Amino acid sequence: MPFALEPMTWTCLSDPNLLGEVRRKLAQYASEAGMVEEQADCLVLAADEALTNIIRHAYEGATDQPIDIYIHSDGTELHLTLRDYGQPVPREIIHSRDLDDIRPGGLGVHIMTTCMDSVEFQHPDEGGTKLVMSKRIEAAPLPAEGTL
Amino acid sequence: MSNTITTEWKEKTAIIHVVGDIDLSRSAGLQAVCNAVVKKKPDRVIVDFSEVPYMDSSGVASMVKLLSHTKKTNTPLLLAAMSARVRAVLQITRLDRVFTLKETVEDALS
Repeated sequence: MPFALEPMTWTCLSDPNLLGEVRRKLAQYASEAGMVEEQADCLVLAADEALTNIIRHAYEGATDQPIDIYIHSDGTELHLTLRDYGQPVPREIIHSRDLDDIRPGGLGVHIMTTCMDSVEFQHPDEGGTKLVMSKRIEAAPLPAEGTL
Repeated sequence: MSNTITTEWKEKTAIIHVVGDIDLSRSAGLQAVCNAVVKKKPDRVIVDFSEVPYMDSSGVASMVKLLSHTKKTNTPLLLAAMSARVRAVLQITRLDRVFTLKETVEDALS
């Protein structure tokens, strides 16, 4: 069953070599919140795509800029917020593109909107972008009686 | 698991073995290997995903670029041994219909 957990928040640098560690932390949290593996995979993928966009576009490839990460399970949904302090996200990045146009690039937002129940880009007055995503937790079914 | 990308040649077939996650930190390196393989004009290119636990859209982009190169020379490109998790990324982006997917490298070679 889904579990409410204390929020987990930390700041990582915009270094692509740190993406694996972020994915592991988010996967662990999602698992502890009771998310089934397939759902957790989707959430981790969405987060990874968002972080990749931040590194590439908001920070233009710089590897020493801060990204604030916040994840919280309220027992029903998992809420994920990514905050950067870089360039605003270009409009063509925010909107998914036509997938029938087979070319590399531009798939990140489509993946995010497919994997998450809600995706919202906010533009705080202080600058940068705050990306707020959420996903309902469908927990693994309990084992039938007598099977343990 | 140490992250490596190696190329094995079986006659004129190039098999690109990738070990480890494919994300922004490695997609450029993968692309460089793919470009080097294409330059050698193989009869067939197989990308072995059997030791790839995770791939994001930067990895997908590398495969799309490889596909565009191989199409120009009518060289078959096969993606082999993808896990369900990796295949799901192709499915979400609807690119599973564009690539030839094989269950194993042996299937791709036969």
